[in-house]
Amino acid sequence: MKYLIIILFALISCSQDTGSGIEIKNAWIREAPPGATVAALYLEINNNGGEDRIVSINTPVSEIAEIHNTQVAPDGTGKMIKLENVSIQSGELLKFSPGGKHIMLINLKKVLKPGEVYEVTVDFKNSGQKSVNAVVKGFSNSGDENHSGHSMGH
Amino acid sequence: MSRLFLNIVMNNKAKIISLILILFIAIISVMAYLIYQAKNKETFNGFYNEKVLDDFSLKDGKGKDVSLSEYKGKLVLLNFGYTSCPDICPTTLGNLRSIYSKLDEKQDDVQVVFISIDPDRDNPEKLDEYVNFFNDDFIGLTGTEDQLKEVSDIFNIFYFKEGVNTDKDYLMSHPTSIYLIDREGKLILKYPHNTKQEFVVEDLKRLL
Repeated sequence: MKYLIIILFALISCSQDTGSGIEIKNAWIREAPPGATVAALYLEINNNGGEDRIVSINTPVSEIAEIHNTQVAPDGTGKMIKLENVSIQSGELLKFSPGGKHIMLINLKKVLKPGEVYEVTVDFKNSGQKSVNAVVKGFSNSGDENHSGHSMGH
Repeated sequence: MSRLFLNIVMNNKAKIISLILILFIAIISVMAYLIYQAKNKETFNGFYNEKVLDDFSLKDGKGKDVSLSEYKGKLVLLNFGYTSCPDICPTTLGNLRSIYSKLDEKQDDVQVVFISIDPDRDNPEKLDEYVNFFNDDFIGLTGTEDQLKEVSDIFNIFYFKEGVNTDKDYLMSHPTSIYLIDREGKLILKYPHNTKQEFVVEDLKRLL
């Protein structure tokens, strides 16, 4: 009985551990065309903990990783806005997807090939460093490549 | 007074009837024409944006001067961007690649053109390699500042450098829409960057 309680307690605390805090999922990097010095990283951050803030993002494929938001004016002119200290509310699912918020990988250190997997680390102000594997995805001949499509999920 | 009016009507019965008939036919014809026109525009998924385009000339990847008029007889899908663009440009070119692949044997009647508005970093060779990565049939064009200014006036668009850190490190604001030019070289439709691929394919198949 005593052991059962201990196991039960361990299980509960364990599930609480994964249930609370920050979870990063569906991370992918788009294959970069030849000669490109930049690429985009997309992912989703699920925050089941308290309000937090992204301090920095690091990847082994680029020298710099910045958060940008693509904004398209009614006349169709698109501009990119650099975002700093991006906050994530408690209970928020923050999505980085094509045509919207994305992580711009600047000064690529390698040629990105579809199927390759790289570990991406996001440094949060309160939650510390969280890592996730991001797969490189090529351009397909089917499905929309923008945020209104549904082909980019895993 | 009313008797006088009645007399006039009675005496010109035939004339009045034919006048009413003519008016009736005229109204019906105008309505039919308007409905036909509206239908013609509405059946396209893209935004109808008819504009006669002045011809312009830019350089292709081989350093050859290419004019828009050279593509007369083909439908042209044109968009603007630059090779150091991480999000919108590869997304749009990826979409154009899929759209183009769905045209099958009709591909010969469509030309995809990508115009770089960043000639400082995109030389013709680099641009060629970039667009051909998406499809060998795609053409990348760019030119001098003056030439690009002329093109932006023709399309009534804007582009400018932003977030300039150094002369090689900056972002560009640029149009994100896809422009569809008909076989006569006239701009007819515009697609916002997030338009579903099948909508563009549908329009193209109607026009081909």
